[in-house]
Amino acid sequence: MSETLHYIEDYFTGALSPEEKLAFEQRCTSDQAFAQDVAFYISARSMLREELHELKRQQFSLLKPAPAPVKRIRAIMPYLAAAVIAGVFITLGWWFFFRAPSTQQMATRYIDAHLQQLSVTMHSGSDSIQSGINAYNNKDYQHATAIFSRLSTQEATAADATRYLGLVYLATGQYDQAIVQFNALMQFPLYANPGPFYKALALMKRNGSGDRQLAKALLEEVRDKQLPGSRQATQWLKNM
Amino acid sequence: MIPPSAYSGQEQAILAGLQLGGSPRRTYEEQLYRLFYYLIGEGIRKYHLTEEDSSSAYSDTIISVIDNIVHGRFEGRASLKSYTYQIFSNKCVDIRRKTSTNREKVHQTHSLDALVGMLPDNARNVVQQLIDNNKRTLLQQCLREIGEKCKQMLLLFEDGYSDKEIATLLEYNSPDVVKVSRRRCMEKLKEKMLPFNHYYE
Repeated sequence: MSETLHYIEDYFTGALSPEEKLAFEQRCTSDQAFAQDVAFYISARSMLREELHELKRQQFSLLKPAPAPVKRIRAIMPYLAAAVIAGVFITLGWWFFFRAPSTQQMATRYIDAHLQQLSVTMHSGSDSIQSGINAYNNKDYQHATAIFSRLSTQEATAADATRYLGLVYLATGQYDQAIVQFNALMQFPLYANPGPFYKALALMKRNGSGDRQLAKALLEEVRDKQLPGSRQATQWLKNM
Repeated sequence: MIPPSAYSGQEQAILAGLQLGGSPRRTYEEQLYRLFYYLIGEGIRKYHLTEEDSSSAYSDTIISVIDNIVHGRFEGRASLKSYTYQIFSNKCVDIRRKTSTNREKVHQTHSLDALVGMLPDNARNVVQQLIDNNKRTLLQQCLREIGEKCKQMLLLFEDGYSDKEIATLLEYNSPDVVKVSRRRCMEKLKEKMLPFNHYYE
């Protein structure tokens, strides 16, 4: 194994002594092959940084709060009317459903609010993944399934494709298949694996025997390990 | 309008949490993102950005702030709020400039600049001539081919996690094992690039 990259890393992480640093810098100008290795190292680190930032953007995109209501001092009457109507609905709602929403309802609300459309910026990779996302957003689930199924067998795109394939199954009510995909997703050693959260979501939606308990355990794991979806998991756990 | 003093306790907690590292760090990153989320509205009103552009500027701002705190570049001369706002304003101006002049995003080159900038002038000139930005897509492709574990390790290191923290997060036996494995991953990436390289070899 080459020692050159180790030496280069030591320079950029500040692990070299002043004398060694000087020798390193002189070698950049006198040894063309070494300078090329330094160029590779810098390019690779730069690319890794961009990948990292894209992952963080995705992580943040899941945190967007609901838009705040616009404040208007005048035109109070429509608000009063809305408040009265809301009051009636709340009363009726309390009368009919005086308990907390079921896990299935919570899952439905989440899917309606967050998974009807996938952000095209969620993935910076291959065009094929983007094609799958476009098909999903156009509700062409058959096409999306075909694309993601194919990509899930290719190492380079397997993790993302598995995730999206699970979401397609979730959106089309095929919860058993969705859970299979999310189980597979959980096996990938991802930087921040959303598999447990999605699997819990699919279990909540399927609502079969023992699903609620399993979903709860997964949500507790998501919350405790601060995995993607931890904020939502914390909220749901209060009602479970 | 919430007075800045109301945030000071929360700012301190976020700063301490980010500097502490480890797996709880992500919680504090999310808290930071939520803390100044209202700046997106400011980007729309003051800099006339679209919501998408303003959100993008805000995400990039938070990423920069986290990066600076984790790497010890945040000196605490201003409050976290002022510091974040200043970076956000610069990002908004960058985007305005880009949309009005069709220039590339200024902030996209920062990570490259930071490493190249560590070299003295003569060495920097030599190395800079050898960096081929057109290879970026190939590098991304090769990164996917070195395996998820390798990729995660390199990304965590890039995110400022120590080898000790990576060992805990990815369940390795020791920081030394992480260091060796991580360096092997970088070697692997370089080997994957060999068939495409006319500049690095």
